[in-house]
Amino acid sequence: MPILELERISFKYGEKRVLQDVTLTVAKGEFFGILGPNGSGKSTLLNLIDGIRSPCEGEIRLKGIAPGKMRRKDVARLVAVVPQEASWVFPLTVEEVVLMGRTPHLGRLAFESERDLAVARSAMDATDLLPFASRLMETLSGGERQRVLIARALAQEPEVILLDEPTSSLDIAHQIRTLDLIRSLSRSAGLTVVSVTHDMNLAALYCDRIALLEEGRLHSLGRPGEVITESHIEEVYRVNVAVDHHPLTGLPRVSLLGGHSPGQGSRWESGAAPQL
Amino acid sequence: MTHPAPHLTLIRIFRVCLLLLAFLAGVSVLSLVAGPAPIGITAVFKGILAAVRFPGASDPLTGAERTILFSIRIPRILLAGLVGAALSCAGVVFQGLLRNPLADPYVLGVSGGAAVGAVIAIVTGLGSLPFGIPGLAFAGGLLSILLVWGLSGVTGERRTDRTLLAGIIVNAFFSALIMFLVSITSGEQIHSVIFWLMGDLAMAGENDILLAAVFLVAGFSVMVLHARDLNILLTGEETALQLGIPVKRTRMLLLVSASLVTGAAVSVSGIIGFVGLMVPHIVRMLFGSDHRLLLPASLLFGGAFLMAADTIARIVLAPAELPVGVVTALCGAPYFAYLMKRSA
Repeated sequence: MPILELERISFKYGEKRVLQDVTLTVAKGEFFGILGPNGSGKSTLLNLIDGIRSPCEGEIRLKGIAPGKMRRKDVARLVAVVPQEASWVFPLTVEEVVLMGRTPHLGRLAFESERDLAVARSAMDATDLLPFASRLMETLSGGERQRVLIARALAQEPEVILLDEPTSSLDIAHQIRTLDLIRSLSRSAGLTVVSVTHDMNLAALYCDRIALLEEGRLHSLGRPGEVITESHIEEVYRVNVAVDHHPLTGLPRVSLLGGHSPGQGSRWESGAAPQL
Repeated sequence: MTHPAPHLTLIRIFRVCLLLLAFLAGVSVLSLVAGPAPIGITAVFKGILAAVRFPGASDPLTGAERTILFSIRIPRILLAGLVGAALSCAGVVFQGLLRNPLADPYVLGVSGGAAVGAVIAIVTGLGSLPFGIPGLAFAGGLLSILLVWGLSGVTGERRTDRTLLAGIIVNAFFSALIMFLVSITSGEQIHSVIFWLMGDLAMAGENDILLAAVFLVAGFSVMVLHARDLNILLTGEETALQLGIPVKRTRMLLLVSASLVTGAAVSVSGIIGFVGLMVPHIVRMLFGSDHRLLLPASLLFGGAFLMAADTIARIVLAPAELPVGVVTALCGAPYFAYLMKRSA
């Protein structure tokens, strides 16, 4: 049985249709990528999987149950979310934030046990954060804060991890380290990963399967080589790209060429220069 | 900059609370001794021991001294402690829930709303019913925080700077309402109405103290039960949902309990500003942002703080008295300005 099933999902914010008729399943231990232009419904899809929003039509099942109908605590034991950024108005240390990941496993008045501390520590270790444990969040760089959010999600010990552009502010070393870590967890511990990303080359490198969204609809779904093609990207993003096969990995490699894709037409073309 | 504390343990909470209890005890002793009528510290202690029928204690106090100590100073000190504790806890909860370091019961208009409730109770005579004044004060406080909440987040995406603006609007409206009630109130009632505008601990009776204590214990228990939830709410409502907190229910419980303790404090002492703003910040700087420690520490420190402020109010112009609200506002307003400058 797949751990996650989406069946003909539609979602609207008021009158604005954000997702329409999306059907897909994710298997346990799979590394699943979601690609698509800004506003194509990627983040909303994560909110639906997490049960923070419920679909207007269709059904979502997380281990067979609709996440919107589960107690929040039960969802949080199954699913961890790595948001793009969070608010840090008050002084909190890195360790305090990572320990928050243990919340769904703790009783109301319980204090963190040795095991909780050990889990948090190994999550910080895996994300290179141990030297920062007692630093305040506001003193960290954007990339360091993003790693704290990843460590918090790992400390949650979830079965499914939802990543919303998890590596957007990381340097390449930490991009690779983070994604390697998450992939090894999915291989060894059966962690299911659903990751929204804009980086097609990284998606090709790590994802088992990819869904490409276009204006809330599922444009294509399959292995990276099937989804990341010149024609798909030009259709969905309307830019010129060249997709070839990487000489070492054999995976699709996307190169940006600049300019809008021919045929679609740009409002800057035909001599109509913008009045600046 | 590193944080003063490693992860929180029960032992650390215990230690900090013991330290603050000792501080509170020290401030209470100073407050007991300070005042226009000179009563020595040994006389105070012997008098108290004799009053609780401690074996072998002899009472050195004269009748007048006994009256001053037991009917004036002790009730007033107890009330100052309770009101300071209540406003500080409410401040912690409002700052955490609204994720705004400038929030407190006074700035958000919760104290103002509670005062309107209390004044209406007096003017209409409902105050003579049991729980009439604190009940309406609580209702007024709750109404104002719901108004602030509603005004600050029209489209779901709650902007923390809007909560402050909403608080100013609500506060202005309730201040005007109190002024209006003052203008239409006649003769003997007017003094007790003005009392709410100034903030004053002098009119405390035994029942007031008992009532404030009961409300504080009830509200504080709810807050402590949700201390960890408050920690997580600091990082945003969506995050809190993702970490398993039923946000709507938790938020409502916390708003009600913070309004409850604010209402109780205001109904026995009037509007005392800035305590709920300053105390949580000072405690956070000393002991960190974890609400499991921040709440009890603010309770104790807030009690000591208002006791000290009220002692200053009693002795600085002795034998005349300042309303304690004057003292807290005189140190609070510059502090508020400092915080705004720093966070800008």
